[in-house]
Amino acid sequence: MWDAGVFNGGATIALIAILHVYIAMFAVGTGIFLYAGERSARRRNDAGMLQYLRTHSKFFILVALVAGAISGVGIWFDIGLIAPEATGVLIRTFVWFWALEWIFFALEVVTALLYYYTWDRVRPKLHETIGLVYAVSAWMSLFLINGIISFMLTPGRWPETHSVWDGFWNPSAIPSLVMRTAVSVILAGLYALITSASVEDADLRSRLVRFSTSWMILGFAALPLGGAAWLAAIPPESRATLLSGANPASLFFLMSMAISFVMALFVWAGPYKKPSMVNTALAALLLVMGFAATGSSEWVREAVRKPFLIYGYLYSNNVYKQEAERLPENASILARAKWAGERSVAPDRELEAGEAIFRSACMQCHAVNGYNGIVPLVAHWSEEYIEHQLSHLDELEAAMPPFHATADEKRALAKWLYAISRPGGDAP
Amino acid sequence: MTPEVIPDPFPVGLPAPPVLLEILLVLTFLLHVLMMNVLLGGTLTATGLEIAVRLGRRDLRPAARFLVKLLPNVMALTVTFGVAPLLFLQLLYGQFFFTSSILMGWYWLAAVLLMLIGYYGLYVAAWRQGGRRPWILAGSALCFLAVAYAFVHNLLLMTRPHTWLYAYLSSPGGGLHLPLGDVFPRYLHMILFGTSLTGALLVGSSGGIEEGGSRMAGMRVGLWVLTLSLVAQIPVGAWYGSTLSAGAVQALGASWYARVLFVLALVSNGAGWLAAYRLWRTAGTGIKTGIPERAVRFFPAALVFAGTAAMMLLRQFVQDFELQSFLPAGSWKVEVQPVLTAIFLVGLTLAAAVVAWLLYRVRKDRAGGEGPPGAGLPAGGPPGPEREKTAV
Repeated sequence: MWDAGVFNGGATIALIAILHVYIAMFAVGTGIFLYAGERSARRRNDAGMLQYLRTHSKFFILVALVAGAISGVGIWFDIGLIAPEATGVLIRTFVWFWALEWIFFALEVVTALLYYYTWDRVRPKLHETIGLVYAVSAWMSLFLINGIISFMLTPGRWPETHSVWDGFWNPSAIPSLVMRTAVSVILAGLYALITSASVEDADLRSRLVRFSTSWMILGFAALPLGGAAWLAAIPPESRATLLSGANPASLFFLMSMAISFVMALFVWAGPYKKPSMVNTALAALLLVMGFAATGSSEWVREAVRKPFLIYGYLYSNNVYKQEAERLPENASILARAKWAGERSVAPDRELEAGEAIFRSACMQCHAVNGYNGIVPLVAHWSEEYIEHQLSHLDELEAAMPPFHATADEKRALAKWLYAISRPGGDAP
Repeated sequence: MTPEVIPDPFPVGLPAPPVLLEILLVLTFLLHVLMMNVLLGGTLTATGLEIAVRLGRRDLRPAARFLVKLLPNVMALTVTFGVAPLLFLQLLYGQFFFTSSILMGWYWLAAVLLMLIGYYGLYVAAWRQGGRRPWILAGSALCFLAVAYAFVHNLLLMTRPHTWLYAYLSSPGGGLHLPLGDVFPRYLHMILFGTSLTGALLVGSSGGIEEGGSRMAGMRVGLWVLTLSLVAQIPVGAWYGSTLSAGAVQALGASWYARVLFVLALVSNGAGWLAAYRLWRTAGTGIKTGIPERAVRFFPAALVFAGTAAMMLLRQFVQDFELQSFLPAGSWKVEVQPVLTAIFLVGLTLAAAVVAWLLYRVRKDRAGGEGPPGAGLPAGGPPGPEREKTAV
């Protein structure tokens, strides 16, 4: 288990994945935006709009091809560090979907570069065709990845059939695709506002702002449809978590919806109706709000899956559900842990054993201190109460997986947790 | 003996026969290596050329510009072609690769940030004029050198499971666990592949520069870079060979496939150098082969890359040999997904056809074969950096 210190693996993936999603969905939406925009501008012989699209495509290259592509690689690196078992299962199940996604990604990269470099160097029809190939490839990437990501929360019949098709066409795949396509369209308009806002010609700027915001409004209109269908498709336990209103996942879900609603209302009543009011600062503010909404919803998507990495199949501590069901309640964790320095709880090494158990079973999600740190969680608990919690973990906390360990191991872990959470406790 | 820390096999089988996956791993890895070598060697060489230009060697400016303009696109393709072998590596050897990545921890994850910084540096260098360009390029080169070290270290650590438990217990947050003497020869070996390929590429590309002084200067620098890299490769290669395990050396010696690859690597690199030398002697115009001159200019790079590819296949041979002995039983059970395998192979072919068709159409349009380029577009200069007369 990777010890990422105060950040915890969860924090690193949250950071990288949210950044990537925010850029990748922009890349998908902007493919459609550039193609439709260019086609429309050429039909109307709108030289100003064409000039703008050319500038926007440079911005697009710098954001999508650089930060988008590298953060995508970053996700690969990070999930291998924090969830190797789930990553291995996902790769083996969906490798051909991923390989197909790679084909579309390669097409995206080649056509994005061609699109940018050939703006005034090839016939308009060919340039539009390049844009169309990019737009289709980018959306296909989204389509393929969406099937895999949605699988993790709603694997459908896959755990029984192990059919990759059951996994890909899982219950939340289509609703999630509608949602993500809608968000991509919103983000295309949102990023375009940034470049539109700096256009000097006031008339052209107004037209561009109206064009950009009309994309956002279109996306906002489609978002609730996908959202409602997604909510209906996810497991009842996850839905209950989201709608309870009394836990972080629920609060983030509400926050995401509230920000989206406020943005939609504001964009319609403000920039869409009065395009002249838009400036770079306002566009940047909207971009930040969009990031908060996207980040919240992605965090929620991860949170409602708990205690699983793959719902109903693999727990967040890398133990398979089937294996957990077979294990006796008091099965020794140290005997199963290949990497533990301690192989049992020796009477004079309880603290060392407790730490080894923490590293094997808990560090997947919990840092000692920091993001989802364990110390603040147990700071006011007695040693006996910690041990009681450990003995009934999945019964007392819905987000926690079952914890199979011997009585000695639970006591050793409780002792170590109690020791490090006291003032001056020796946390590693 | 199999160290007990090697993770258990995944419960899901491989979706295609291992031999097909291994072929895909190798083919996509070679594409990645091609781009990666140009990226790493190109960034280092471009830094040197830009410094030389800054110090008054104005005749090297076109050669430097050629590389500086090329590098952002090469980076895009390096990343693109890197994703597929990473996928197939994780598929076949995930238990090893994930573990070695975890053992490196932050050092492994830092490679992502360094890639990002280096990548933006390339765009800044390509799109901005000014005296800071050599330093920006040097920054990118340092980032890529660090990324290369992380990769070399990880891929080596993954083949050494007997070092894992000690590495983890001594540094759970991650670290660079292997001795420098084990990693460095392999690392230098890779860098020299990059600089030799870049040197060969520079000889060819500079051959297309119209201005005579700059043409000769660029070709001369390219030939020097190629020559020095190949010469340095001899002791470095021997050093690298000395770090291989006895079992791997024995396996290499016993395999005709490995022996053929080794000879091919030597012959290709030697032929590449000769082609480059000949091109320089004739200044890129005097060879009468019946083949278009543009194509002839890339013979040296193609031959040097063929040599690199042979060495990469050897490296893969060693890696497979070492990992196979540790692979727990049942790791490669197969649960074939025949329809998806076929869809992927057809999709790959179609995508290659689409790219080829688009490139053909773009080339035809730019040559003016189908009406005026850019018709219907507003007037204005090209969106990218100033065009150079490197005629590549």
